[in-house]
Amino acid sequence: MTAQTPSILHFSRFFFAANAAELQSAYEGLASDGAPLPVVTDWREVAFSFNRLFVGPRALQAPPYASLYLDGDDTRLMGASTSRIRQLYAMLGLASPWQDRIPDDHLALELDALWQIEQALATVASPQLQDARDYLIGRLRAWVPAFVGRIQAAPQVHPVIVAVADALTRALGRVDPIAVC
Amino acid sequence: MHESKSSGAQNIALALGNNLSRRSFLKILMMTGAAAALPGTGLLRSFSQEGPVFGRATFAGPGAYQTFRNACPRNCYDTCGIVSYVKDGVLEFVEGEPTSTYTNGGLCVKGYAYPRTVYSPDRIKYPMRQVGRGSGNWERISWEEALDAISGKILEIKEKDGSLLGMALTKYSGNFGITHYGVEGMLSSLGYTTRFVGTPCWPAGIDAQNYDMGNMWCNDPEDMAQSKYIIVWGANPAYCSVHSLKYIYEAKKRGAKVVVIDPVLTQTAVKGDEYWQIKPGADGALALAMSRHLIDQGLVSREWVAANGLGYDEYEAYIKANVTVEWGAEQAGLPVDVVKRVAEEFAAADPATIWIGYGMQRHVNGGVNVRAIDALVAMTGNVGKPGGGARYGHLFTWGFNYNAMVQAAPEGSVGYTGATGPKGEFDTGQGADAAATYTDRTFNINKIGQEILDAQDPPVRLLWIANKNVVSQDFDKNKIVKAFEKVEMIVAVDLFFNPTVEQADIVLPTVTPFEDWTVNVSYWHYWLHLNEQAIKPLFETKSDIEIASALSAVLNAKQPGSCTFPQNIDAKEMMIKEFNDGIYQLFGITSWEDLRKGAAKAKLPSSASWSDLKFATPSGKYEFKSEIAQTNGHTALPEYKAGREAYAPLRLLTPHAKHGLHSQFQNLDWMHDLNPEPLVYVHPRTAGAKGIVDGDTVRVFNPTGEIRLKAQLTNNVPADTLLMYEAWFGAKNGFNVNLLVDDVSSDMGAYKTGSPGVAIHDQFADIEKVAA
Repeated sequence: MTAQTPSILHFSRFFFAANAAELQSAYEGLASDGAPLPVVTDWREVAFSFNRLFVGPRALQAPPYASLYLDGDDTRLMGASTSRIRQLYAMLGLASPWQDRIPDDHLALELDALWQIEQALATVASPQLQDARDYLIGRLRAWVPAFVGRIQAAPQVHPVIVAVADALTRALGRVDPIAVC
Repeated sequence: MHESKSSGAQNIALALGNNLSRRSFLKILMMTGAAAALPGTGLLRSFSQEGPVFGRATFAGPGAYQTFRNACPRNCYDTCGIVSYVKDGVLEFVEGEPTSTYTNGGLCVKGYAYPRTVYSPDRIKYPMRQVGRGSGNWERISWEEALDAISGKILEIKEKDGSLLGMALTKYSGNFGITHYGVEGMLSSLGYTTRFVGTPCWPAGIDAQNYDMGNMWCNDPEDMAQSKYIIVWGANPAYCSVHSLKYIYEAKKRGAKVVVIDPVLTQTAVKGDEYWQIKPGADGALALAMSRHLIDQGLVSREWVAANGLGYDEYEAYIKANVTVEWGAEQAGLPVDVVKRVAEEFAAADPATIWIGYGMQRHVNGGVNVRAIDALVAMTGNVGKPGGGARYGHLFTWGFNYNAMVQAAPEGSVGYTGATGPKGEFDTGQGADAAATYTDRTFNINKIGQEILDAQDPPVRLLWIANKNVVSQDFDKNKIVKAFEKVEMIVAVDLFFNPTVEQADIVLPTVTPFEDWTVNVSYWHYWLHLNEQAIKPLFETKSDIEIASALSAVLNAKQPGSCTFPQNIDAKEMMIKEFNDGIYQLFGITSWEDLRKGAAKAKLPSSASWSDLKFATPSGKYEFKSEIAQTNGHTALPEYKAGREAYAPLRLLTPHAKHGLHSQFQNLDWMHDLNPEPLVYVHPRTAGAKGIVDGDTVRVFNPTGEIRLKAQLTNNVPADTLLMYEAWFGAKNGFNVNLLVDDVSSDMGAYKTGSPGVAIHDQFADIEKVAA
């Protein structure tokens, strides 16, 4: 478990990166965890692809917001799923500083919550936190595969981003939900 | 809840949305030390570190909405008041403003889709820079980086040219909120620049009404209910002004007759009692023919024209010498007896009115045609009468301070020294300094491609585009894209990635009405709507005046005194500064805050414009003969003027769509559900001759360009006409009617708006079947 914990943090920071330098920093974190990732020669190219997929300004190839995958036909930001994850954060005493501006169900924020829960569980035994962790993993597994599918299908996608997305899928697959004691 | 399977996860799922369970869950976490074990310092932060407001401890239950007042600012007759319903900081849905009798609690299909605009995943979220224009390689930059690059370019231009005339602005109607004139203000605050002036929309008709009556001023649309006879001439309110239809229906219920004149059998036309399929551009000939018949039958209101008209006798003499009913009917493609009958009915009804649409003035003879229709209304004594009037539009309620717009040039600014006119229809002349040595350089807004190609000393080096999707909506797309190659830096401020943003070097993300403070009025009805900030601006979006303010701060840090736009503004304070006593008196309110309770309507002495029959012309009369028109190069009388000669076999009409307003709304998912793809509408006879069947892919082409799309066969369009509704369908569709529409000017517009309009409906094309 502990070997994977930092990875979730680095996945979170990778998908939240604002520029090539932040992408590179998160990527190096992932690589240092031992994730088998290709060598990158031009981070600017990765950033162009990253922006086509997740940022804009063109219509997004793979929007990184859960509501677009979990809310059926209601494909908008700030949907019902966004509200639910905000409530989960609040149950944990957490909130996003970007509340109402960046949807709370941005992949990076959901992964950050998972990382924080795992950090806490490493020091305290809390059935409540384990429940929250189960819920969050179940939720991520419900939408991340569709999200990753859109990355894989995107035209002109940079292979490095596909590799990170595949690594995320594997990481979420390996995290075993812990039964409530 | 399909997200969760295990019992632990189910516990959480049940607790979500339940304030009590959520609080007790957190309480347990706190008591057991689990809450303290969470780092609380990741992307997500713990409440305790961020103060009491942060994190919003409670969640509103079902039905617990906050409401806000908003307004639709998208260049529409109806300019609706909106009530916005917000829960937990999220705009959930919108309704029409119930306190306005005009909006009357309902919105149009576009208005109801507003939350889809706000929360579209495709909105532009951050300032971004394109590495290689048109390359599709975009990097996200901070506002600081964006403003550094732009301010650097501004200072470089000043240094190189000795003036800022190399910086140009094109802005129009993407958001008609009054504070959005701060875009013009931003340019003024930088110095003397180049402005694309005029309006693509309605300028020929504005000039026409100014020649005739001294201003453009329409009756209250709500008084159409009192009309006994309504001619809707070249307008399609069923698509473009749905809130006006109820007054037409009411008039019908009270016994009025409704005649619709349009080249296309529109949804409005089928609601009339009578429909006339006129030949495009023959409106003047038809009005003259109807006038001739009134003269022949002794149905002219002699008393009215004698008391209130100037030059009527000369106009009558012109008609008698040059016009016959038979000639005019033939020009219009209508039966003589029908023209005569409707002319008689119109003269007999009291009051009778004509709604003059904007489509019919988008011709090389559009302005003079409006004048002939105005004259027909005047000759029957219907001008100045409730339920009457030659209705076109008005700017009667637009007397704001334009505080954001009026900015002084920095000291020592150098500008243009040639002659200049008004900068668009909203230019009130406020803030113009008579003693100023310099002015802005003005270019025709409707010929942006040609003007940029021709510009010299200096060329256009930096182009600022706001509230306008130029590459979709301006004329001759290919020419525009070619011209843009000449421009050193293009900055586009927009909501969505459209063909204009595609050509930009830097894009700045802007706000929807719901994230903004402003105030809105209409050019048709007489209501005033407050627009409150209902939700926080998403991502890093900023309003036009916030952008101006931020740019000013950066420029003044680099070169003190280089920009006069106020820094560190508060958007709400800027909105308040647009109000004045004149507005308060006109609308019978004591403070802008009164508008939080609902919309206000102008206190009009009469629902009729010109009710005192004191016209704003030089003579104070209704001028059938206008010396100003003559001075400006037109005929003094509204004489017949031929239309544009055809340059291809079929006429091409590109009117306004039902599911979009220019390039807005049609890109949204809900609109795609209703109207998934653009079509060209073709008469079955024309299609048959070309071997085209319904659903075929066709090529529509002319010397300006070509479009490939599907054909739909319909009897609603004349056999010699092709029709495509203008719209931007979104990033995945290259459809653009302006690949086929050239930039030939209409006759009028320069007098009151600075540039002539465009002969949008004097276009021609051919069609052929191609492989799908």
